[in-house]
Amino acid sequence: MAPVVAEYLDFAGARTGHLYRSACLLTGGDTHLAEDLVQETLGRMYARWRRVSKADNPAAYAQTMLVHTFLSWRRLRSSGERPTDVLPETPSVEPDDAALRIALFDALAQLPARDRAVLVLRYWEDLSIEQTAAVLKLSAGAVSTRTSRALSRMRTQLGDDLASFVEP
Amino acid sequence: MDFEGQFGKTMVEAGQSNDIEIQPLIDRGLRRGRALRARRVVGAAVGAAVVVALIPIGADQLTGLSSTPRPASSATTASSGRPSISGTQILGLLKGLLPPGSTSQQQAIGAGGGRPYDSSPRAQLVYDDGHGKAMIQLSSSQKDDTEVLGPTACPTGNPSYIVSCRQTKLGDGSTLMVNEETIGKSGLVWTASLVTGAGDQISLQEFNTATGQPGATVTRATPALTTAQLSAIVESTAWSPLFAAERAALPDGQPTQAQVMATARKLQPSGATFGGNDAMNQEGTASFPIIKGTNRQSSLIINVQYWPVNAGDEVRQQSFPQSSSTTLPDGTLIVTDQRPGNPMTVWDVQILRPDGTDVSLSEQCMHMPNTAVESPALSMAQLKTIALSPVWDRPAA
Repeated sequence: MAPVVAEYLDFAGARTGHLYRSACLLTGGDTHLAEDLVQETLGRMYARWRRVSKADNPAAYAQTMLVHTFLSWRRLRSSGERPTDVLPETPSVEPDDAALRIALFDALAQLPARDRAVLVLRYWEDLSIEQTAAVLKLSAGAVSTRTSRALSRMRTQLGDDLASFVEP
Repeated sequence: MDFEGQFGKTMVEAGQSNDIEIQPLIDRGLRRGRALRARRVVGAAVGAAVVVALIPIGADQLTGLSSTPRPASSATTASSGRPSISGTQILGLLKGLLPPGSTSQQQAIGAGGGRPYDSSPRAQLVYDDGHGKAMIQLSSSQKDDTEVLGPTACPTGNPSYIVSCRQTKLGDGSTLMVNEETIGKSGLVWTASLVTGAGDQISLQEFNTATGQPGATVTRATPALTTAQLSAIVESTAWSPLFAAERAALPDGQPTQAQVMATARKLQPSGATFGGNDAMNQEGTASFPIIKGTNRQSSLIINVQYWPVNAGDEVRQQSFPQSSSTTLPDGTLIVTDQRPGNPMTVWDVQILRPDGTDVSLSEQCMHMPNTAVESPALSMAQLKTIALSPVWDRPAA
């Protein structure tokens, strides 16, 4: 068992930081929930390591599992996604990196879970529309629609001139 | 830069701003993974064999096992004519091959004789030659099952954790792998793994800690036995009764996944609906949502196994420690566990009938952030009622 454990631990050591950062984005900055998501993902990876380690890309497998875990956790407590027809007021942010990050996390937290997953996969994981569709088991068209809708909401939240917050 | 480009750049910067000390998180993940295996709820694993983690237990929890080394015993032949071997017999074989020293915290699972087909035989004990305790674990399989045995061939590349690894073809056609590696900061694990020409596989691992767990306190500079001693043990002909029992093991008699799901539906409490099974390809295990009203409130995982009556001690050792289990008037053992948590609450109930029927339930309930924590859909009393229902009893032969 131990060589398997050691191989798994090498993998976990290399990927846990990235999984945690992804989870922070998925949870809209809820770091406690992000830790729990990563714990659950790593646990499931360990339990399936014999099979997972033979996959072409265990890192991508873990990333997909993280997103699925996040979505399934959302579903368990809600028959639907969060209502988003009433958007909260746009937070007042200072034009510095920390404030921008806070504003971004707040804005992400207002999105429906699946839209948030679409944005994280497209812009954080840098996946194509087709790859994102495969992870989320959606059609490419649905991913495009959700991306446009989510970006529109983010623009409403963050303001058109995001560039003023972004370092050149 | 347009908004999409600006947003993507901001997303990356925001993501990269979140750092965490990863080791505690890795440790938590490993504990969770071990718990998943130990509870045999890896039903979501596609085609994965059930792996029952062996959790070290105190000597006071052992029943029917001697801590005194004794000569190797041989396997028995069941009345069916098919050979089988008990956990106690495997421990006897192992201890008979160890150098002089004390042993403790022994437990083992046998092979054949009606044991669940995918419960691989194994044994573990803590050995002390007078220079510190060392966990020793033995496992065997007839399948190419690295989850049970670990790899039986040296890894390719040059993984950082490997100190040395060599593979030797023996005169009788067997292949011996001897591996030395690190585990955690200062832990060491040495392995001798043998694959015979007939396909029998046996692996012996020893640690320089008393538990073999990553991060465990180091109890000695190196493991107790040399790799030559490890190799001699796995090459011993004493294991032939174990191999014979494994080859003779039959999958007959265990409940199928469909049977467990169908039986669960008969026990559905009023006011709750059991959804469709979503466990994948694991015999004896069903996993499904519990829906109340229109909401999926919990998930329930049920695993049922039939153990032979004379293997009851093997199950008791691993799942029903005396300190936390209760014996009902009819002799049924029951153990419960409630772990409130955010975001997941887990309630477990496991029972073992005197006839070897082993039913375990795990109800899991997730919570969303910033919302009041709700209880799982089914109460502990309802879970106990389901677990103790006679509908799970082993069918008459």
